[in-house]
Order: sequence, then C-alpha cells, then structure tokens
Amino acid sequence: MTTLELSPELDPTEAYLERGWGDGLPIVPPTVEVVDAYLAELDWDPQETLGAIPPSWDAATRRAVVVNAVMAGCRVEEIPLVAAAIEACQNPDFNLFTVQTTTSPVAPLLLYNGSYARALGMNAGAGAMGPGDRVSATVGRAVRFVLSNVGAAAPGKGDRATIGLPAKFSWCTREHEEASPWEPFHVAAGFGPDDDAVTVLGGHGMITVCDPGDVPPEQVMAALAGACIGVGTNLFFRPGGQVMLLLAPEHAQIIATEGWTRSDVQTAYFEQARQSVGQLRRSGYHPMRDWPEEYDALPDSATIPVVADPADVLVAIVGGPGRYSHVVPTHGASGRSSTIRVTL
Amino acid sequence: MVKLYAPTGETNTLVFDLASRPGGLDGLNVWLLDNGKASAAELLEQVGNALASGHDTRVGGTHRKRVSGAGAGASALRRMAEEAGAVVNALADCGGCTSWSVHDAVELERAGVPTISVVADQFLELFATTATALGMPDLPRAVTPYPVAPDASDPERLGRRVTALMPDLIKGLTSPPGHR
Repeated sequence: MTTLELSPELDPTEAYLERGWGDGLPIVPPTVEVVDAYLAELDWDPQETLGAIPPSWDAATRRAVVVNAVMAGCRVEEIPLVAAAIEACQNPDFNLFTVQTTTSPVAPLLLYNGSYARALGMNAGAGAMGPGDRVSATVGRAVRFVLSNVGAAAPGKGDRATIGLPAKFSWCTREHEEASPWEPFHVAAGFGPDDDAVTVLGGHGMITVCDPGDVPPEQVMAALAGACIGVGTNLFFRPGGQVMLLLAPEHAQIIATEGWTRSDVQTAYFEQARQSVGQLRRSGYHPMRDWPEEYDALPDSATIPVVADPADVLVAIVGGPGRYSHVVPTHGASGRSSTIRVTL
Repeated sequence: MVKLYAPTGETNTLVFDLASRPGGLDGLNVWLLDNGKASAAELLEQVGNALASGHDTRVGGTHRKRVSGAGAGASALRRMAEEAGAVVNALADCGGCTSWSVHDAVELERAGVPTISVVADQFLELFATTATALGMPDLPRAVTPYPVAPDASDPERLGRRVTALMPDLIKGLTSPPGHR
C-alpha cells in the first residue's frame, strides 16, 4: 500500500487535499504506526478486501478501511461499523456504481441497529442526525472517505452530482429501538434481535414533516405522504424505488396507540403517497423518462404510488422528544437498500 | 519525517481486449441499445437510418433499458451477443447513465460485440476514467456536445448532431484500436 513521507512542518490535511483525498475539513493523519496498531488490535488481515469501490473499482482492503477511518477521526472500536457499511454497499441491488457517480444528489444513509452501536454511544435520541455525536459523525465520515478516496469519487470527477448533498460529509444514525413501539428495523428485515446490523440506503436527503397537534394516525400518514409526492423526484420518473420514513418516537406512539403495526404504516403510506398521472404529464415527466409502458394508457385522473409495493416503504424510529419526522426519498428504481449483520 | 498511508485501495488490474472489428459496415446487423435518456431514442433512430443508407447494413433490433442508472441485464446482453454484429449504445449524458453505459459496452465487447457509445462531452472524463477502470481504456466512443436532451423536440438540430457523429461512430464500429 502506498505510503507518503511528510516533513513534520507540513499540514497533512493540505497534503491530502492536494492529492484529492478528504472532504475539506481537517483530518487526523493516518500514520503507519497508528494504522498498523489498529489493524493488530482488530486482528484484521490488512490485505483482505471488502469489495471494489466504483468508479475506480479499486479494492477496499481492510487496511484501506482503517486508514480512512483514522483520517475521519474514528476510534478503533468504531471501525467494525465502518467496515460493515462498506460491505453492505457491495450488494449489487444497492447499485453503488450509480450512488457514487450519479448527477443526482445521492448519499448512503447509514442506519445501525443493535447493542454494539448503542454501547458505543451512537446517538439515537434528540438530534440523532447530528451534529455533536462523535460516533455517528466519524463513522459516517469514514464511510464517505472510503467511498471517495478508494473509489476515486471526488466531486466533479468520479462523483458527478450536480449540486451535491451535505449528507455526503456524514449521514449516520442509529434506530431508537428503546423508544420504538415496534420490533427493531433489522428484526423486521429478518435478522435476529441479538444481531448488530447496518442498513445502507441511497437517499436524496430528507424532507421534514411536523403535525398540527393531537391528530389521528391517518393524518400523520397524510402529512408524511405529502412530503415525497412532488413531481420531479426520482421516485416518480424512475418508479420502483424505495422511501424511508424516519419516525419521531412521538409520531410512532400516536400511530401505535391506535393499534397500528409497522406493516399498517407501510400500507397506509403506499395508499396515500401518490401522484396523479395528469399532474406528472403536465409537468413534462411523461413520456420523457423511464416510465413503464403500462402507464401510457392510464387516464389523467389515475394515481400512481411513489413505490411499487408497501414493503418498499421502510420505517425506522429515530430521534427524541418532539413531532418532527423525516421522509427520505431515494434515487428511484436504480437502487435498493441493503441490510447486513455487523461482524465484531 | 512522518510516514502516512495513502487512503487509496489496491489498484484494480482489469484488462480486457476489445472485440475484433468487422472492417466495414456492409452486411452488418446492428442493434441499438437505448438507455431511455431524453433524446436517446430519437438519436438512435437517426443513427440507424444513417447506417442503413448507403450501406448494406440493417438495424436488427433495439433494446430499451428500463432504468438508465443500471445495467442492461444479463438476458438482454446475452441476446445482443447472440444476434448483433455490432451495437450502438446511447446516451451517456449524466453521471449514473454514463457509468452504466460504459459497463454495458465493456460487457458487450467482452462477449465479442463491437460497440460504439455516444457520450456527451461534459461526461467524457467520467466515461474515459471508468472505461480504463473496467479494463478497456480504448473503449470506442463518439463524442457530442452537451446538452443532448433538448434535441428530442428538434429533429433538424438532432440531424446535424448525428451527421457530425457518424464518422467517429463508423470508425468505432469498424476500425481496430490504434487505427482511429
């Protein structure tokens, strides 16, 4: 692996930025001494690869993951979370190639479940999406560094996002399992309750939804549904993607108190988050893009859902007191979320 | 001195040969690979007409990708490999669609199908670096000025664009690398 020798008076951040590595903020210098010590502590084979990162398609070795994690400010115990996210991005259905290079503003949202991230102190409560929590800040930043440094995806080069997304600095949180009325997200996805897991989702940022007060579940769902049905989102011109609801615990409790399950939330969202075909046609999104041919015959009054199936509405509980939930639209049919077990 | 690791990975070593070229257009069964981007279908139709006029070349089929930011898929690639004598691949004019245009073209070349990709100049750098990363630095390309999308509603302007593209497009289909 390539090493550099810098004289002590040179600023490593500047030296790395000159080579196209980093995010513009100060880095922690990944000295050979620290990286090798972390690799030994993790008992990792430095040469073992976690997969290739597009668009360079160079291999993310375990050593490269540690180097980037050190740069991002991770402590050694946080690095398995970084490695797991990189492995989750390798699922072909996630479509890392497009996530990395697309002109649309996509970043992987990292959602952790399980006792390990909780014990490390990753924030799931008030302000869970940051800033201020060093665990989520550094883990998310480390994943970004692996993606951009190993994948040669610097903005304007391999990363062709037109405007970009602040979530590309770091976009990482933990499900607030302790405050959830339902089973944890990863359990709903088929993993065991004692498993640690990470989910990656190619998100287009977040849309915030509040509610007017003590309203029934249907109205909470209507507010959430309204957040992602704007014409021009990738969800409509590339039908077949997913959307994630990051429900504030209070919103989840309002819904669950009426006896609703997570599945009921998914079905209600699927039913309500729809756009009229006429509005999509009038806005110029038909027949320009990737519409299925079967939509051609639909009358203007017909509605089409943002996703093809209720199961494509992903529901997780995040945050502290208050009634602001977030909707995470995605880049549409070209990518899907990926959940894997975190290996410790 | 402070010794630091570079944050890069292990450089991939993919190297593949391009498919052999037919040497001429006559008798060629050309398929059109349309990724669904705005203007792609119209551009490919005009390219098909231009190839057929003056040559004993025919358009044997068209495959339209459902999603531009993903691959054409194994079955479509297999069908083109079986039936097509050459493929015209369009349109690489954004980030994700350029990446996957390169990917599809590399897969077709590896399956023995000469393929020319139409790429907008603003995305040529991504096309070139990705082609190199996927093992085919000389992957044939015909470059056209960005933006292409507005030409969907202007057939005459699109026609001038296609006329300008045809020499590189024909060379990419028929001439071996190093002879372009």
